[in-house]
Amino acid sequence: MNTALHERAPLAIVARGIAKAYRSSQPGGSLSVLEGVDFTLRAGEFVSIVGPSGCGKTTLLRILAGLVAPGQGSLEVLGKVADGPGPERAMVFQSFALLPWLDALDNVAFGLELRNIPREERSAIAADYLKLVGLSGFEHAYPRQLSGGMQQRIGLARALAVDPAILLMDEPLGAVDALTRSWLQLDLLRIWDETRKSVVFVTHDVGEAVLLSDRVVVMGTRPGRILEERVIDLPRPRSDATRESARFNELSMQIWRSLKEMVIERPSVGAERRSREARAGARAS
Amino acid sequence: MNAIVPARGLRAEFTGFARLFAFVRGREWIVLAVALALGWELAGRAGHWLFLPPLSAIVRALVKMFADGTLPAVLAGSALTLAAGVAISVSCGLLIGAAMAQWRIIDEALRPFIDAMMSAPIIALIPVFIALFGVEYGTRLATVVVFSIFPVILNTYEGLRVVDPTLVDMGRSFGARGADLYRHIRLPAALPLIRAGFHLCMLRGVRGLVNGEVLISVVGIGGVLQTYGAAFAMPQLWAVIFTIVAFAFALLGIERLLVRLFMKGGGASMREEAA
Repeated sequence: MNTALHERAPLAIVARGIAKAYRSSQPGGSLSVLEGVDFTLRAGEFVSIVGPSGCGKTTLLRILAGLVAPGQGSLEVLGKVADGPGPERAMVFQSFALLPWLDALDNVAFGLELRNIPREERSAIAADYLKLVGLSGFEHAYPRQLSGGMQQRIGLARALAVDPAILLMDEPLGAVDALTRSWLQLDLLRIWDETRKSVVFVTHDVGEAVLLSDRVVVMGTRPGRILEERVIDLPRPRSDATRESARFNELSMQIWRSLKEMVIERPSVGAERRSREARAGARAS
Repeated sequence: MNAIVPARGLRAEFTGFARLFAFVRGREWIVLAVALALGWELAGRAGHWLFLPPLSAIVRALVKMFADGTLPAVLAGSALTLAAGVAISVSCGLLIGAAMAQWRIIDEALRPFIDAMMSAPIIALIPVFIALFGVEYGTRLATVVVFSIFPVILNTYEGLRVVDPTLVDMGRSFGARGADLYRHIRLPAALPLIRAGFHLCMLRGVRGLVNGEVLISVVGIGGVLQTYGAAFAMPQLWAVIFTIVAFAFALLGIERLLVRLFMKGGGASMREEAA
C-alpha cells in the first residue's frame, strides 16, 4: 500500500555508482569506503540505512547531503545534478551540532537566518517548529541547559524550519539514552506524519529502522556496499503498539539475520578504527 | 524571641561589621591592599630608606603631579601611542592569525618567525627599530606593536583551529560558505580565545609602551619614569609607577566595556591562554 504509492511518487534522490576512497595510512595505499552504491529515494518516502560500523553509511549520507564529493558516480536531487549542499536538503547530526552561543529559538532559526529571512519572521517560524517538536517554553534556553534528547529536538526543528523536501538524518538518536530514544522514535513518527518529508535515516538500530521506515537498506563492509533492501509493509499510522506486532518482529529478525551473518563472518576488530579514519578523512577533505 | 538580647550599641556595631564583611566578600584584595598600604607607610616612616618613602609622601607627590598638569599631559600622549599600537596589533593580528588558520602554507611560512619573535628579547631589537623608524614616534609605536601583536595572532589562530568541524559541516549543510561560515560559526566559536588574546594584547601593550619610552625617547609616561629614576626622586618615581598600574587597570575596564558592547555571546566563559 505504502509501497504502491511510493512507486508512483517522483524521485527525490537518485544516486548511481557512488564510490569513495580515502588515502590510507599505509604509503601509497587507499581505503575504499564505498563501492558501486545505487540509491534512490522517492518523494514522501522514509528510508533507513542500517549496517555495522565501518560500512560507510555515514559517508553515503554525507555524499547525499553534498558535504563530501563522491569519488565516482552521479547524484541527482529533485531531478537536478547536485554538486554540493542545497536548500532542498537539510541534515540532522548525531552530535546535535547546536551553536552553544545561541538560544533554542535562534538555533532553530539558524538556517532561516542564512537565507536572510527577517528576524521577526524567522523567530515566528522557529517558534512554530519548537512547538512541533514539543519544546514550547524553552525558546530562550541555551543548549548546555538542555538534555541530549531536547537538544536533538532542536536539531530536528532547525532542519524542518527551512522546509526542505528531503531530511537527511545521521544516527540522530545515537547520542541519547535508551529510554529517551524510544520516546523520540514515537515523536519522529508523529512529526513525520505531520510533515511528510522524504527522509534518509542512518541508524544501527534495526528495530528503530523497521518502526520508522517504508524501506530499509542494509549495507555491508569492506568495501561499503548495499547488500539488500527490504520494504517495510507495516500499516501507517504506526505507534508504540507496532513494536508488538508479529510482522514488526518478523521484519526485524530478517534484517537482524543479514546483519548478524556479516558481523560474525567478519569479526572486524579493525573496522571501528577504519571507520573513524574514514570519518576523519571525510572531514579533512 | 531570643533569650539573650544584645545591647543596642553592640548590635549596631555588629551590623557595621556585617556590612563591612558583605562589602569585602568577593573583593578580598581590598583587605590585602589596605594591609600592604599600612605596612608600607609604617616601614617608610620607621626606616628612612631612600627607596621606600612613606606612602603618604608618594600620595602627596601624586596629587601634586596631577594638579600641576605633569602627569595628565604625559598620560594623554602615552595613551595615544598605546591606542594606535593596540589598534594595529588587533587588526593585523586578527588577519594574520585567521590567514594562518585558513591556509597551511601561510602557517608554515610564518610560524618560525613568530616563534622567533616570541622568544627574542624584544628590548634587544630596539636599536634595529631606531635604525628603521628613527628615535621618535615610529619606534615607540613599533615597540608597542611588537610587544602586543603575538597574543592576538596566536589566540586567533588557535581559536579558529579548534572550532568543532561538525559545526562547520552543519553550517555548510544549510548552504553557508566562506564569509558566512566565518561570520556565523568560525568567529563566534573562536571568540573566547580571541577575547583572551585581546586581553593579553592590551596588557603587553602597556609594557611595550613603557619599555619603549624609557629606553628610546624620554617622553610620555616612560619618560618621566626615566627622569625621576635618574634623579632618585623616589616619591615621584613611585607615584608614576602607581599611575602606570592604574592606567593599565583603567584600560582593562575599557576593554571589558568594549567586549560587552561589541562581542556579545561567543561560547562560555573566557579562557585565558598565556600565549
